Amino acid sequence: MHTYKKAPVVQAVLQLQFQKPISAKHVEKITKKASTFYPSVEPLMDYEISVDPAINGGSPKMTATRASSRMQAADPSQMFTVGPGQFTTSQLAPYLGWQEFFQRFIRDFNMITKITGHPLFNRIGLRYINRLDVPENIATFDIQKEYLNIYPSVSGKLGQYAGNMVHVEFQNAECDSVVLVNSGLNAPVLINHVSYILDIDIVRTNNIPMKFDDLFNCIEKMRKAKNEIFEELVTDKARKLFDA
Amino acid sequence: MLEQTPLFDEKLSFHYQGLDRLSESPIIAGGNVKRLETKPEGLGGDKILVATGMTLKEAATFYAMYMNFAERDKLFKQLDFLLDPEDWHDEDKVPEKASFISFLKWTVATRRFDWTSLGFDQTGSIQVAFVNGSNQFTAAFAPSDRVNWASQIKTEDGFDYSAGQTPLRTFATTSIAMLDRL
Repeated sequence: MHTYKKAPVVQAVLQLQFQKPISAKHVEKITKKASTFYPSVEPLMDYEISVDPAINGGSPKMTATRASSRMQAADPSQMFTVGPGQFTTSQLAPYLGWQEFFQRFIRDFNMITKITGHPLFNRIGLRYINRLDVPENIATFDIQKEYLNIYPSVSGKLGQYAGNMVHVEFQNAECDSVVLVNSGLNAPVLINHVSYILDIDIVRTNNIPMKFDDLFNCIEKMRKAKNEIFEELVTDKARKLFDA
Repeated sequence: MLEQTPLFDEKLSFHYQGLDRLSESPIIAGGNVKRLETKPEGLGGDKILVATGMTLKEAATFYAMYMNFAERDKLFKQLDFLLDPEDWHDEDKVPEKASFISFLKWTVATRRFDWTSLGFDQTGSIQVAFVNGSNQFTAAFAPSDRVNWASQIKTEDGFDYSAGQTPLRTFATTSIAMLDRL
């Protein structure tokens, strides 16, 4: 796979969901351990509101419990979240390539399994959100087609084009996964540019390997599929933007 | 699944809802997951400065593909310097994210990463300064996409002072010539 000079990846996310939720104590231990790599810790709280008419005339009571931790490295492009049901390693731009990202994921994975033992997973999610910044002042369908192979098709009599978002789902037999693609116009990020999003999300919920090596191979396959889908959905003109 | 219903913004373009909040979501991969009803705890004291620094650096990730590592490193070091709790005065206003984003847009558009220093003014706007000997150029990026700028250039006949307020998009063009005079 060609490595682009200006990789359009805005965020890469790799998430595993536990078949059986891990305990709050485990979440706490993982958070403490992970703070070595991700010193910025933001507890995310679950709030439960209850109303008992028999007490204080039915005044609502709110209780908070720590649900999960959102953490960031000193370089805030590197992120990690852990909760009872899942853990997620993610990377904001600049995306430095799969090797670096996946190595960090494996490091996080090993850190977790050292605390929880050998967990089983029921879901793998690999998601890449890409943004194409196109040097145009006005967004049109024709411009969109020049850069993306995914776009809407509508009657030209509907009025001024203001925006769009296309959602497509399909099966990927090779990875035993579902692929969700969202693409469309985004609020412009750069001056004198229009921005398009290409969001590729691969989800596997069947036959998740139990052995770690097999699990990693499965993720590698999903990544390969993601790359192929990405290359199918962008044009040569878009590739030139990434290499400019 | 993240909320992905497109919304109109004031410029009649679709905004990919949630993109700027991706990192705030505890579940961010996968199409069929319900968003947890969770929210962060409150912050206080020096933590606000740390959180502000992280917020600004996170905002910079949206532009990271247009910066090299030296440029990004310079920017982050300057933010760390400016938001150091040791030197922070309680009456200082923390910088506005919208102002910082305007600065990032401008600096990417003009490719001017060679600024001398950054600062924050009393309204929370980001200020950038370019200094070359006795020549100076400063600009303050208001959150409203307007830029207040001032220039001081030494000429044979004395100093040439000028100042103005310019919309951000125009400033991205006009400031290039002004900076070239430094």
